[in-house]
Amino acid sequence: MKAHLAANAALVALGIAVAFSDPFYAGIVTLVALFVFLATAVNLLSGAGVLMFATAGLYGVGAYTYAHLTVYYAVSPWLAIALGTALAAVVGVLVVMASLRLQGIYFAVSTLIANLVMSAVFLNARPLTGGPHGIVGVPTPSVSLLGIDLTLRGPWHTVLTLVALFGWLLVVSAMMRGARGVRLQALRMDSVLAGTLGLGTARIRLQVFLLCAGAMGLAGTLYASYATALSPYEFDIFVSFAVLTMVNVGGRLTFVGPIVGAAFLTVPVFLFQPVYALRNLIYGSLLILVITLSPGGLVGIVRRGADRLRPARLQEGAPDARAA
Amino acid sequence: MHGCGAAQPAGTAWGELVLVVPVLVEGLLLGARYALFAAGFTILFGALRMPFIAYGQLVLVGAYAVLTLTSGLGLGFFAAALAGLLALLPVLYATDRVFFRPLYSSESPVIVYLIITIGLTQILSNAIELVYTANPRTVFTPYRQTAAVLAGYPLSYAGVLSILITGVLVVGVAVLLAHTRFGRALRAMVQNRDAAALMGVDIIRTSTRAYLLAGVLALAGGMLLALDSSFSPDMAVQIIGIVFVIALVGGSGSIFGAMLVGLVLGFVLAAAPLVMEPYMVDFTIYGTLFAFLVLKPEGIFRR
Repeated sequence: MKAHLAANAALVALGIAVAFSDPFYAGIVTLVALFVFLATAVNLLSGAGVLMFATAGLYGVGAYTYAHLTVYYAVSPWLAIALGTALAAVVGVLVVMASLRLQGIYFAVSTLIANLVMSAVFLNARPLTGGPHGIVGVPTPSVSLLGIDLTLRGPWHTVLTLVALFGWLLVVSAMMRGARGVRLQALRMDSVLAGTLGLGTARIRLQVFLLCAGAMGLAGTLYASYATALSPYEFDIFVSFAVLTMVNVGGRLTFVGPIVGAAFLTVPVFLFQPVYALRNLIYGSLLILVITLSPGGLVGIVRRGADRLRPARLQEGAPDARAA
Repeated sequence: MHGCGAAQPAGTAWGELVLVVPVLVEGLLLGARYALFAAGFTILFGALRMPFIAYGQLVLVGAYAVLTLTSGLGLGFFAAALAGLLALLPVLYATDRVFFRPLYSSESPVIVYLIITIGLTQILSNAIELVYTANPRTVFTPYRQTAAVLAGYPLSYAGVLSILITGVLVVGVAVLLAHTRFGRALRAMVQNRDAAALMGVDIIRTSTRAYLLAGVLALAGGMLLALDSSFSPDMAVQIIGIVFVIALVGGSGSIFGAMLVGLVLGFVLAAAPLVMEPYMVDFTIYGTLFAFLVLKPEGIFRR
C-alpha cells in the first residue's frame, strides 16, 4: 500500500513537472491520465471477472452531462463534474442490471451493444448532445483561493486531472488488496463457489461496477472541460477497444499494468501526428500479439525476467529467504 | 443500411400500393441479406463459440475487394467477385491457421477469440479507412439500370440479382447444414461439443471448414451489398450490431433460427421508416434486443 502510494505520488509529481514545462505536453499528460482512469477501471472490473465494453459510452455520458449542464444551463462546473460522475455510475448500474442474468461472453456482448446504443444517443439525440456537431464552448472549472481567481486551464487543468487520478488510484489500490482483493479474486475464479461460500456476489459486482462506471464518468467530465468541445465520434466502440488493448498490453489483473499500458499506447499516438491515423492498426496488432504470445503483457514479461534472476540470488545468499 | 424510399402520404388504393411495394422489395432485399449475414455469424458464434466481432469489417472487405477489382482492373462485377473470393480464400485460411486453429481444441477459448477478433476489427477498420477513406463508395455496373417500375418504384437489375443470388446462397447453406455430413457434424457441435467429439466428429477439421464457410459467406455478403448499394466504413459497426441482435434473439445455437430472424428483421427495417424517424430505428432494434436479453436470454429458438 505504501509502495503504491509513494509510486503514485511520484508519478503525479512527474506529470505536474512535465505539464508546466510546455503547454503541449500538459495536454498529453492530461490525455494519458484520462486513459489511465479508463484502463484501471476496466482492469478492476476484469479483476471481478467482468469483461466490459461500455467504457467509451460511460466516458461519453460523463463528458456530455458536464458539457450539457455547463453550456445549456450554466451549472457550476464543479457541480457538473459531480453530476456527470453520478449519472455515469447510474447508467453503468442500469447496464449491469439489464445484463445481470447473463454470464461470461453474453454479458460482455450485451455491454458492447450498450455502447452501440450510447453512441447512437450521442449521435442522434440533438437536444441533449448537439447531434453530429456536438457541443462547443464548454467551460473549465475555476478556483478562488486567498482572493486569487484561477481558471483551471492548460497545466492547471492537468493538475486537477492528476489530483483526481491520484484519488482514484488510491481507491483502486484499496480494492485490489487485502480482504476486498481476495473477495474479487474469488468472484473472478468461480462466482458460483464464491456465492456458496457466503459472498454476496451480485452485491460486490454491483459495487465494483458503480465505482468503475463512476470513474469513467469522472474521466469524461474532465475530458469535456479539457477539450472544451465534444464530438460524438470520440466515444465510439473503438475507444473501448483501445482501452481494452491498453489493459492487456500493460498487463491485466495487476495494479501497474493498465497504467503502463495507457502511457505506453497513448504518448506516441498524441506526440506524433502520423501515428495517430494508424493507432487502431497498431493497437489491434499489439492486442493480438500480446494475447497469443504473452497474455501477461509488459508487466508479465518483466516479472518473468525478474523470476529468472531470483533463484540465482537465492543460491548465493540465505537459502530460507523465500520462506521469510 | 435500412434505406427505403421516402414515405408518401397514403389514402387511395394506389397510394397504399406505392407504400407497400417498396417495403416488400426492400424487405426481401434486406431480409435475404441479413439472413445471409446471420447464417455466417451464427455458424461462428453458435458452433465454434467464436464471437467474431470483426464480422462487419469482413463483409466490407468483400465489398471493397469488388470495388478495387472492378474500377482498378476493369473486371465485370461477377468476374471481380469470383476473383476476389479466390484471392481472399487463402487469406482466410491463413488467419484460421495462425490465430484460431490452435484454439479449436482448447477448453475455454471464448475470451481469447473475442480479444483476437477485436484486434482484427481494429486492424481491418483502420486499414479500410486508410485505403478507401471514410466516404461512401459505389460500384458502378450496368446492372444499376432500372429493370422495371412497380407501382412507381424503380427496381434495378442489381436489386433483382442481389435478391436472387442471396436467396440461392441462403438456401444453399440451409441444404448444406441439413443434408450433408459436414452440416450434421456442425449441428452436433452446436448441441453438444464433447458428445460430438466422442461420436467421431473431427472437431478441428469441422471447425476449420465452418470458419472458411462463414468467412466466404461474409465476403459474398459484402460483394452482394456492393452490387446494389453504396457502402462506407461505418457500416461495419451497424452490421455487427445487427448480427449480434439476430444471433441473440434467434438463440445463438440455432442457425436456422438466426436466418429466419434475419429475414423478418429485414422486413421490419424496411417498414420501420414509415412509422418512425429513421434514427429511432436503431434504438428500437437494440431496445428489443435488451428486452430479449432480460426476459428470454435463451432466444426464440433454443438449442
